[in-house]
Amino acid sequence: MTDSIQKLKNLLITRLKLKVDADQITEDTQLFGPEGLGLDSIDVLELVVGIKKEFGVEISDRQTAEKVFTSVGSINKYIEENR
Amino acid sequence: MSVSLPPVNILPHSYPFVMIDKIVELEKGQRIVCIKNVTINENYFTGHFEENPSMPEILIIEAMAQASGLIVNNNKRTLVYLAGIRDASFKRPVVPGDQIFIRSSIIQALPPLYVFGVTAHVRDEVVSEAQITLNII
Repeated sequence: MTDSIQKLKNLLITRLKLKVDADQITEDTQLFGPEGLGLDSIDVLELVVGIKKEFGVEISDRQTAEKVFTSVGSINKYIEENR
Repeated sequence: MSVSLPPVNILPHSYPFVMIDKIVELEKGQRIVCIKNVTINENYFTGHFEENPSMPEILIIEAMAQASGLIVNNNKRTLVYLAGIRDASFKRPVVPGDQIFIRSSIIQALPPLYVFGVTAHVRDEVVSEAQITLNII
């Protein structure tokens, strides 16, 4: 669990070139909006590609994506359940 | 499926911005192989560069993007915008007389956004690679 969330944080930071430290990201960190990481739809697609490469977990429809991409914890949960 | 028609009627682009001359192979929704013949009379060679003409690398990206758009295009005129370029590299200059083979395949689709892995070869040598994201509406 801890291992995969750490990997996910690194993926977020490196793939999306986020200017935050891994320590500043928690499971409750929201992906969108100024209070969260401020991601946009292209970032989400990048993340989908990154998650497939890194974890072998596919997210191929918009409904699933909308459900999964709310917080860092929700992505981690989906990865844990589907890898 | 093998297609040899010029894609001019299915691309929303028109002269002088059609960067694809021929579709060699097309599997709709999956992959494509296209050809771009680089001729000395392309207008950009006048200034890029007068003594040593080479195809501007950004136009190679444009050709890659147009080829990729054709994978998704359903014979109706859609609007396609370039939404991202990642890990682009250019191994050597493309010069007049070169025939570029552009191979693109969908890595990820999340409509209206699509990610493609694209390579461009001249005489079996990779001249360029990129991951391209298109917004197709």
